[in-house]
Amino acid sequence: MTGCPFGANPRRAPDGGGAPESASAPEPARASGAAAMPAPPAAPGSGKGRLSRRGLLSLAGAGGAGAVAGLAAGFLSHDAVEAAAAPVAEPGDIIAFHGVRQAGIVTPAQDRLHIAAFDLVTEDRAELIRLLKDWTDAAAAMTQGRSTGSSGAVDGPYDAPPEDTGEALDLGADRLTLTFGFGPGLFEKDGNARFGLEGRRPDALIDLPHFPGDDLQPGRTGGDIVVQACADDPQVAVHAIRNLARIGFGQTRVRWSQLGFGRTSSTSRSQATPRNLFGFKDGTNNLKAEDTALLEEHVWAGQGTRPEEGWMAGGTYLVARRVRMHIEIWDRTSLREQEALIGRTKGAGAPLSGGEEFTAPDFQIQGHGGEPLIPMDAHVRLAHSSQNDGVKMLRRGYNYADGSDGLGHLDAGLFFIAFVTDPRTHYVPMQLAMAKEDTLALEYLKHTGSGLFAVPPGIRAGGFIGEGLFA
Amino acid sequence: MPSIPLPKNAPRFRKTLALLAAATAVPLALAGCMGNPKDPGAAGPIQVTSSPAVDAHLQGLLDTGTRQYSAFVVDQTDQLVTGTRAFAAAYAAGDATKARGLYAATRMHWERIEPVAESFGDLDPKLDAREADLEPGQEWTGWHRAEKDLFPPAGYTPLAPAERATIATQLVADTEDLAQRTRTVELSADKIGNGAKELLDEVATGKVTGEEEIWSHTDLWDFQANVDGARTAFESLLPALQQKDPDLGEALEAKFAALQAGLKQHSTGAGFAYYNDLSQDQVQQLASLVDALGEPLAKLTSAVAP
Repeated sequence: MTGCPFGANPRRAPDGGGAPESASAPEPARASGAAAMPAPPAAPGSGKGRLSRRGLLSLAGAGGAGAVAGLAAGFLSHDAVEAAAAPVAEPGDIIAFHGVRQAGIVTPAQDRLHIAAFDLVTEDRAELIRLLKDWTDAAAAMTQGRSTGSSGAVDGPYDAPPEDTGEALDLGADRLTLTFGFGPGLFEKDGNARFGLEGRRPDALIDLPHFPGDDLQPGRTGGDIVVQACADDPQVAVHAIRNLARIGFGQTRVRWSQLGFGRTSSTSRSQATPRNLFGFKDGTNNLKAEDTALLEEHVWAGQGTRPEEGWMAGGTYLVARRVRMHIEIWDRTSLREQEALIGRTKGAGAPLSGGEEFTAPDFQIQGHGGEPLIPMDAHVRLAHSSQNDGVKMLRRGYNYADGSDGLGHLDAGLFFIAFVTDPRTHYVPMQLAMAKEDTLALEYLKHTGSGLFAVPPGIRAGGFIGEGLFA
Repeated sequence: MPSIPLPKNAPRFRKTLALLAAATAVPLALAGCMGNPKDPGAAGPIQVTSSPAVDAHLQGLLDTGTRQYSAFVVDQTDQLVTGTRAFAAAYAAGDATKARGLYAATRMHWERIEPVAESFGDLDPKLDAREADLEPGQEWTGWHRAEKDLFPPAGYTPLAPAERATIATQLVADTEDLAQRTRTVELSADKIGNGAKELLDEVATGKVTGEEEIWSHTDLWDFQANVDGARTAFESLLPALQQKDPDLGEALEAKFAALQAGLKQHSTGAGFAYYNDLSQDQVQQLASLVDALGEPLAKLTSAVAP
């Protein structure tokens, strides 16, 4: 083993077939100009495609941003060639990280989820703030399709573990969003305030009550900080959580994490309504990004009633519920009963009162025999805002399948995620009613995990996650 | 040398550290005296880190650390041989109570230098294979063969006296072979740094999971010994690290201390709590402390590279 990390470094050849395009490589100086920005479209001949993390990192290195001078000098020509060969991002591939609101809420729902809840193992406020800053930097990089750290996955010292784990190297940003929220445990533990946050816990960040039928597992419930990673490529989402977990060692440990393989909601009118594992369209009546007035009313949090909770203005509350479906039992249920339990047709997703998918359900209309066409215990009736004091929520859940249960059944269902302005008005009453009256919930669903998190407003450039809480 | 709490049952180990500190005091002091004239700042702003003078200084620190760690390996193998002879004698004689009492404490000498011992590919399986490690038809010898016999599960058929004697004789012979071979092993700073990381890896994958001592449940003894070995390796490289990356040095000292404090919560007069008496919460806390140390410790080798 050579003692010199940079000596005799067996550099890999550039991935892929980019070599023939090296003739069109821009000068290093010009390449560096692009370092801070999501790549402008296209050196001639680079073609349509996505900017790889490797390419972006190389550009940053050429500009000297955070790079060791000698290292950059040694690799400059090589990287300039590679940067030119790297494909360029499609405009829709990258979601902005900084903004007034956090991304990953009204962002059109991506296809894949990896969500993780962390427990803080430190009690030191300065360490917590440093962690949030480190996570901010890493999240800003990864959501823009870059690797974590200054040397990424393959450009660091040869005798050190790479800063970035590398499995997303050849992938684009894939619309990755990282959304952070704070659980009750961040503010207090065993009745004592943590991190000097006395009085800062928002009143809306309640301890969720026990709902009838709950079968919550401690290892799938709670958590001090949640990170929701959504992307169109599952490997990009897993890479993000993995690297954040790694950065957090010493301050945090993963309490639980969950993969979701398919979105169950659309959060924009540009998206078709997907289906859940019951086989029904889900989220037809969901709040959408375009409903800005409704979002203000039902999703975004206000100032609260005390000055100490004002930091949540512009944030929201994330409700997470791991809802196991008894899918084998469901599959033995007649189509008639399935549709009656949901209150919609299975094919088109139209309400049983008639019309098309987006026709408003008519809960009064009766069929022969005087029975309402949409049964009294139908899910769509019990969950509808007209039955719940007009409240709506922004649902952003994902289907999951986590192996099997040892009894020959799949452990599968819905990882329910909703964003609401206040869970006391927008989640608890509805869930209490559903847990008692909704036949679907009583017979086919079991809640096995749960969490409630205060999602602070967006992160400004130069700021960090939840900065207002620590002001 | 930073003071980190030591396990109560390791007086010999404490002595070893004291000896090592004495052995290294002179070269360390010399290095300190020689520091000023070679101050990189004195050579002006264009000073680069490849200066032969600075390298020589750093190399001196690394060489001292390597000698220090080599002395530690020799001392531990000596104690391992002595302890193994006593354990084997009791086991072969059928004194199960005495053998059980010696088992965990003697193995600590092995676990402190595990990466060095494991570098002899043929000896490691003969001495330390667990039942789950065996391939079909492979003869099972070594510590864990005796462990299962001394801490038998229900329905287990004990070994006959002659079988026990064979296991004991082989254990001593292999251990003496190990000690002999460690005398000629060539250590270097990068091997020591990687060894520290490997010891923590051992804790993370085998000890904190309770897999290493599946019959005796004495995993925390091994845990402590792995941490001792990693800490000694780290401290051998600390003077060089303080030159190259003092922040990492401080962080590692703090994480070692935190892990040691966590482990100490489970120490008893005679040693440690048995793994199967730990609650899930306690295991999770230990795992979290191991992760907290493991991440920065993985940077040690590169950080001290000249």
